[in-house]
Amino acid sequence: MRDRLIIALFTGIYLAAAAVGIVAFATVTPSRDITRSLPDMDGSETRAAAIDDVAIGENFQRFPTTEPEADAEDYPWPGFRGPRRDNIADNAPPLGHDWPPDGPPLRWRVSLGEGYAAPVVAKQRVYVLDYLEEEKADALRCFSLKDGGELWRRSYRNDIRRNHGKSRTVPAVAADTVVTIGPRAHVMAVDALSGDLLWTRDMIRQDGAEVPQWYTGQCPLIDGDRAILAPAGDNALLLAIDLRTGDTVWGLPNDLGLKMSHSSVMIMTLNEVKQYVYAGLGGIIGVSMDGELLWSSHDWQPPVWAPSPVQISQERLFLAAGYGMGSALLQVTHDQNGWHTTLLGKWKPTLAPAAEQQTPIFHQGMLFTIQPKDAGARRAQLVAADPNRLPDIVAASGREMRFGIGPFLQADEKFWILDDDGQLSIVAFQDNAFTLLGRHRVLPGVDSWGPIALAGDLMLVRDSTSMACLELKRTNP
Amino acid sequence: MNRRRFVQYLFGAILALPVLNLLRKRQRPARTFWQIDPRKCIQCGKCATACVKKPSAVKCIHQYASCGYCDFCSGYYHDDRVRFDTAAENQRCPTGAITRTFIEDPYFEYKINEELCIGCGKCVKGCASFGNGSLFLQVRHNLCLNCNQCQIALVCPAHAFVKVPADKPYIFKTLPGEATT
Repeated sequence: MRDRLIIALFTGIYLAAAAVGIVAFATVTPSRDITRSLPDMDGSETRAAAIDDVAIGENFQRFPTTEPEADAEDYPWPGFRGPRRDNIADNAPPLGHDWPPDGPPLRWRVSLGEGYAAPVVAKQRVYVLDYLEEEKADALRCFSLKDGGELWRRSYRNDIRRNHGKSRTVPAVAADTVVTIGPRAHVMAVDALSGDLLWTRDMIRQDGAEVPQWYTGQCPLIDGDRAILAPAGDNALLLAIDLRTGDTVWGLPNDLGLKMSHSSVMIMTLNEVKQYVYAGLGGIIGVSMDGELLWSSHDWQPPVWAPSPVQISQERLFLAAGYGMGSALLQVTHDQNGWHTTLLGKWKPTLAPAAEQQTPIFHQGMLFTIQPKDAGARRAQLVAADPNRLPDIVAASGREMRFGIGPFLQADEKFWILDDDGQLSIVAFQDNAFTLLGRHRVLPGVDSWGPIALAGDLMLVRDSTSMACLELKRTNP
Repeated sequence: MNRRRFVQYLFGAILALPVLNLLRKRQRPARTFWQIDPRKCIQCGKCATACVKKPSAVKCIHQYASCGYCDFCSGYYHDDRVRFDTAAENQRCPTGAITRTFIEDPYFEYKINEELCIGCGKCVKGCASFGNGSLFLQVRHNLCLNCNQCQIALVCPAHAFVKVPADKPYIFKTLPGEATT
């Protein structure tokens, strides 16, 4: 009898609890305070892709400046990262580094629109794709290397808003032709001496490209009589354009669906085959000289990719990207079955050499780079690594030598590095150690992120609003 | 001392008492609050868990003057985002406390919803890693109990908790061009 009562009691409790549960389930909504986070909740659906009618190269202005001497000794710095796109100045004369406290002699300085676009040099002329703030125009400005006097400028209205500066590309000059890519992927080719407009191309309208975040950072490549561009748009992935006429020599369809990055097309000889290598958003490709896709790899896909790939052997590429991505090592091989790619490793920036904006330098079998901001204790330091022992870092410049984003080049067996605030550091690397040889403030402004150019013993540097020409001639033997 | 003189002294002392009291109050040490020095903060995450208040009285604040209003905000998007959109899986904030609003091309505004913010500092770390550092943690004094011994200060590995005067209860970052103090 007693057992029955207990069973009945518990059964009743269970039934009552079940009834309460059912009623609560039906009436209470525990998710009432939850807000869903879905795509397109920021109002950006109203954001219209800015495709304006831009008359590329429409304006021309010549200034009463004396033309450079035709027979003057020429030390060209003809494009992004110099003559071989490796940021190494082999032909640089001996350069001094022991100046008085106020730094190396300043030959001239000119004001520029806000940005990071860097100059190139050919035939004693300096070319920079500037942004004219008042006219709201991209402008290819040609200066005399001797005194900084402006010879001419060719511009076109391009009304853009500040987005961490405006200008950020390096022109290419060869065969008396200058090719530029503007912030919104407008391509312009002009005669390098007269400034005459040769041809134009709107990679947004014509090739279906998308302007990357913070505007276009790709620097054009001139290879012989062709300009090589990477629109990575709906209609073309890579283009070869006749340098003087603007005719399309070949176009590689974008079947891979890559998007334009800030990386630039590089020329490499992999497995004894000369080719164009481009790191786009979504993958990296190798393309033959006649526009045939040789290989592609999609194993490492940074969402933002600024540094260009660096060849470290016949089969290997060192890849680096900022914003948390770090670096990777890609192997590209070729046999009777075709081309093959293998991602040999990928590393976080705290563990390996990496780069945020500036492309690393491969010199005498070693890899040199400025570590990105997210590289932990070695952030913004110059580091060296043996490519055969990645991800190990052999040497770092130390906490007393940090260089911000650090545009840098190699000349006269030294590294010349600009930090964010316009300080130029000269650093030697010997016995697996970095030594600071000198440090001088050479620019008055901030964000001196534009790549450095070197023409003989004249160095061209810029901060966000000015460009300076420094005389680095060694005075003491 | 005669009786008259004694009464005069007595009344004088009584009248002087409020004045003396005022002087005593003025000599009291100024009231102070706990605050985070953003230059020392390493975004370890302890502010979210060590505070006696649940959720924490530490919140992310946004110094708009130093924000880049970027499309790609590394405080908003986490490193392994799938796409650059507002879907939850792309956001760095674990509670969805940051709202992103399109202003005009190419600018976006980011606002902190303090009711959702738990003070974990993940967005602060992201902003400091790649952006301008306009997001940083502060003790919100409308929420803080101002404990005699702050429990977060006890465990802060960077010793970023400092006492600040009540008339300057927040520590802002120095903007470019501003004098440092």
